Amino acid sequence: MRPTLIAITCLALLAGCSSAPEPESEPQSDPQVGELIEFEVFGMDCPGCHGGLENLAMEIPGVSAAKASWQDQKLVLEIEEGAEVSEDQVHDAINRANFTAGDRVK
Amino acid sequence: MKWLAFLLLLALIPATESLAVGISIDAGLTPPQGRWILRTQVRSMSRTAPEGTTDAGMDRLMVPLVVVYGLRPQLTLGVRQIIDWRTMTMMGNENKESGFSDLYVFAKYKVWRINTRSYTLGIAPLVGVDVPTGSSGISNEFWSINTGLFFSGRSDGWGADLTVGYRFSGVANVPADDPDPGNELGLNLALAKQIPIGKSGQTALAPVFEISWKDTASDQADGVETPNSGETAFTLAPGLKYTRGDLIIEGLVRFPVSQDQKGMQMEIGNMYLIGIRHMY
Repeated sequence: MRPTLIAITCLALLAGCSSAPEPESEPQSDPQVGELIEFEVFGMDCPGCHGGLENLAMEIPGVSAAKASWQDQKLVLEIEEGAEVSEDQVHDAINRANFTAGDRVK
Repeated sequence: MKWLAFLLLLALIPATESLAVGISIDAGLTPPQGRWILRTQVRSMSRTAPEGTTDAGMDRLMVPLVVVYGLRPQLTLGVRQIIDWRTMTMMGNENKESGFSDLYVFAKYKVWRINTRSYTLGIAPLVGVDVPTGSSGISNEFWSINTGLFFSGRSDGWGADLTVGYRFSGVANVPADDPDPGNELGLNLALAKQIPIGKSGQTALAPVFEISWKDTASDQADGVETPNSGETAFTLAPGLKYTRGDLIIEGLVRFPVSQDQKGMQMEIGNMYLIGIRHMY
């Protein structure tokens, strides 16, 4: 019984540490600050897919915010003023996330 | 006499639960490059001697800790360490063992994946090694190689992962006086349906259903099958997976539908699993 209690307590602590407020559905920074660009992304199949793609998109120089949606199959990037982000850079990030880029829709 | 009883009990325990079991959905798709996945579970399982033989039994609590990293888009590396508590009973006697199991190191490689607007398909082989680093009494004390092939499909919130696994048990370091442990062949089909919760798109609940079949060959000594070793089991496991952003909480109950142990061995009981995953 004791190991069961220890294990359940560990899981509860992990869950407590990991719980976060409901994430926002749009890029968190002010959309007035920079241009928003949007790409279709295929291959995301659950809410847990977002984070990896968003992390990789944020590594692109000039990207100030990134938000992916598995239901809408899209990636929205906020670009810093004056910065240039090429489609190739976005496609590379999407490929490294193991997804496939569709059309740029915005 | 007491020690003789325990030795007999140990002989009745079939091969350890070596292959990763439970919530196999997602197992076939490699994560994004640079993605860390931390995963832990609590698994409670039991085995009991067949009715009318003896009152032997074993309760087992396992806490696997798994770390997975997407080194490349195609290549995923992982390591698993299990903390294992075992309680064996026989004729009123009780023996407890606990400690670390053998370290399991594995790599998964995406050989093919296609993502379209309406479906995703993927194939990824896996190779892993059991390194005999475990505690005395828990460790298998030999090296084993696990191979697997994952077939994954996703469409409209539905997911299916088929895993074919083969374990070469005891490829090295088998104690001279022990028989060669039997290899294992396993098939696992995991089905799930993502049901979005709320409008944010960040939360979903997924009923999961796993169908598994596993055959463990008999141990062999000098080319002859060792009595009371080897088994075949067919199990079903309904479960639930709750996803909220980068956090996944999962639970599952696995129960045997049919099983066939060679000779006199303990039978598989139910397994209860709760787990948590976090992705960074």
